[in-house]
Amino acid sequence: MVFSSLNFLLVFLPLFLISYYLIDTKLKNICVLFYSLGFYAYGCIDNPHYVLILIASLLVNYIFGLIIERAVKTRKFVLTLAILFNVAILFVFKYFDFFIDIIKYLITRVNFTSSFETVMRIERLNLVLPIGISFYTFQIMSYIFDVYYKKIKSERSFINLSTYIIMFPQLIAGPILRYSDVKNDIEKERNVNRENFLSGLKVFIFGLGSKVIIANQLSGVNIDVNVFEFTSLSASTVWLESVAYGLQLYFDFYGYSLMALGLGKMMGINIMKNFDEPFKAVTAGEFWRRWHISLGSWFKDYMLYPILMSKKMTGLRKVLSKCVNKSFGNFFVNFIAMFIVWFTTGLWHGAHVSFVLWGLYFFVFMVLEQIFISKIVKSQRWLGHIYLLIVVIMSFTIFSNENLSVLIFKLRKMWEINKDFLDVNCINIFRTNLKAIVLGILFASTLPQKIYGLSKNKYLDFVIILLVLALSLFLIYRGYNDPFMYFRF
Amino acid sequence: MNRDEILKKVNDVFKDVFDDKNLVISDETTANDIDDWDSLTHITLIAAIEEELGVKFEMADIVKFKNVGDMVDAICEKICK
Repeated sequence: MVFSSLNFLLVFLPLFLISYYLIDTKLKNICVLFYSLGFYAYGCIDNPHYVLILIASLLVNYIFGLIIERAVKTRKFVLTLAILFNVAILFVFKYFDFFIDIIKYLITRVNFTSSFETVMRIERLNLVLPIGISFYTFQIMSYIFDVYYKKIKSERSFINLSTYIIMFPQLIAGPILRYSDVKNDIEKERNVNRENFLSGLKVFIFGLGSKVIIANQLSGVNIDVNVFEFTSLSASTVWLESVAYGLQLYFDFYGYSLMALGLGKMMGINIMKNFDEPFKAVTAGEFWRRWHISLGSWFKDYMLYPILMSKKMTGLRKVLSKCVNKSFGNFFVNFIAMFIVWFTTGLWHGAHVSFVLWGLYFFVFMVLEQIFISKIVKSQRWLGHIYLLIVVIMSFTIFSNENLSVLIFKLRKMWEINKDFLDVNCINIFRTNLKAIVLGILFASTLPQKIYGLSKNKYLDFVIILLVLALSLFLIYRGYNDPFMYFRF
Repeated sequence: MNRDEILKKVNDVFKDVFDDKNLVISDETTANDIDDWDSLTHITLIAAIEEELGVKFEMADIVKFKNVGDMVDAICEKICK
C-alpha cells in the first residue's frame, strides 16, 4: 500500500488514526505495530512470508542488542555476528543474483568454465525484493552499532524496539531513523494533541502534493522520450529527460519523506527531515548532505568514520604524513575511505553495474572537490551552482539508465554541442509537459516556500491546503497511482 | 592540563586544520558554524587533536560528539588532572 493511494488515504489512515487516538496511551505502540504489520503484509501480498522475515530479523536483532550490551570480551565478536546476519539477509535477497552473474561472466570470459563447473551450475535465486528491506535493515544495523558504541542502552521492550523499526510511516522508504532520536517519543507518553495533528496533516498533504501533483506529472517527459529510439535522441532531449527524471525522483522521494514526517507528527513521534533544499548546494559533497540526509549520515557514522578511525588507516595516515606530508596523508586515507563508501552507496541503491558506476561517479567528483573544486566554487558560488547542476543532472542520467550501451550513448550525446543540439522532438516534448516542468523547477527552488511563509492569513493557508488535497485526490482518482520510485531499494 | 588549556590547544589545532589564524571556537561551536567542517575534515581534526594532545579517541567517543564542548570533555576525561 502506498501513501498516495485511495486505499491508504480513505480507508487505512482514517481507521488507524481513529484507533490510535481512541486507544489508551499504554497500548498506542501495540496499535502502531498492528496497523504497520497490516500495512506491510498488504504491500507484499504475493509473498506473505516476507512479513515473517521482517519479524525474524527484528527478533534476532533485539537479542543481539541485549547480548552486545552485556558482553565484555566478546562484544566485538557479537557485533560482527549481528552485522553479518543483517548483511546476509540483504545479500540473499538483493545481491546474490548480481554477484553470481558477475562471477559466471568472468569465468566464461577467461575460459575457465570447465574448472569451475560447480560455480557455473549455481542458479539465480530470482527472489522478489522484500519491500523496504534496504531501509529497515540499515535502520536496525544503526541500532546495533549505537548499542555497541554505548551511545544508547539496548531496548528491553520488544514492543518499543519493533515500533521503532516497523512503524509504517518510515518502514518502507525511510528516513533511516536513529533510535536515540525517537526513543523518548516511543517510550514516554505520546504528545498527541490537536496542534500536532493539524500541523502533521498539513505536512502530509504538502508531501502528497509533491508526489502526485509534481512527481507523477513529470513522468510524462520520460514516457514521451521513450517513444523514440534512443539513438535518434538529440542532445537537448537527453538533457531534458535527465532534468525531468531528476525532478521526478526528487519530488517523489521528498514527497514521501514529508508524508512520513507528517504522519509521525500526527502520531506524536518526531521523524527527521530527509531533504534540505539539495539544489542549493555548490558541491557534490554539500548536495549529499542535503539529499537523502538519513542515508548519507548512516554511511558517515557507520562506515566512513570506522574506516578512517581503524588502526590500519590511522597507521597509514601517520606513515604518509611522515614520509610525504600531512596533507597527502590525510588526502590518501580519505581517498580510500571515500572509494569504499561511494562504491557501497551505489550498491545500496541497486544490484546493478549502473548503480555502482553512479556511486563511483560521485566519488570522482568528491575527490576533485577535495583537490581543487571546493576552493573555486566557495569563492565563486554562481559557478558552483552551474557546476553542481551539471554534475547532478548527469548523475540522474546514470541513475536512470541500467542498460550500459544506452547510458554511454546518452552521456556522449549530452556533450555533442553542434547544430543538431536542439531538435523539434525536444521542443514538442517540452511543450507537452511544460506545466509539470515549470512546476518542478519552481518548487525545487525555495521561492514558493518563501512566498508561502510570508502569508500569515490562516484562511488562505486553509484554502491552499484544501486545494492541494483536492487536486491530489482527483489525480489519484484519475489513475496516477504509481508506486514510489524509492520502494525498489 | 585543565579544561581551559585543552580548549585553547584544541583551538590551535582548529586554526591549523582550517588554515584560519583568526578562528575562535567555543564549547558550543558545531560543524554548522564552520564552512569547511565536513565529515572528512572532522576525522582530520580528530587525528590532529590526537597527535597534538597525545590522546586516543575510540569510535564510541566520536559518535557522541555534538559540539566542541563534547570533544573537550572527552579529552579532559582522558588527561585532566
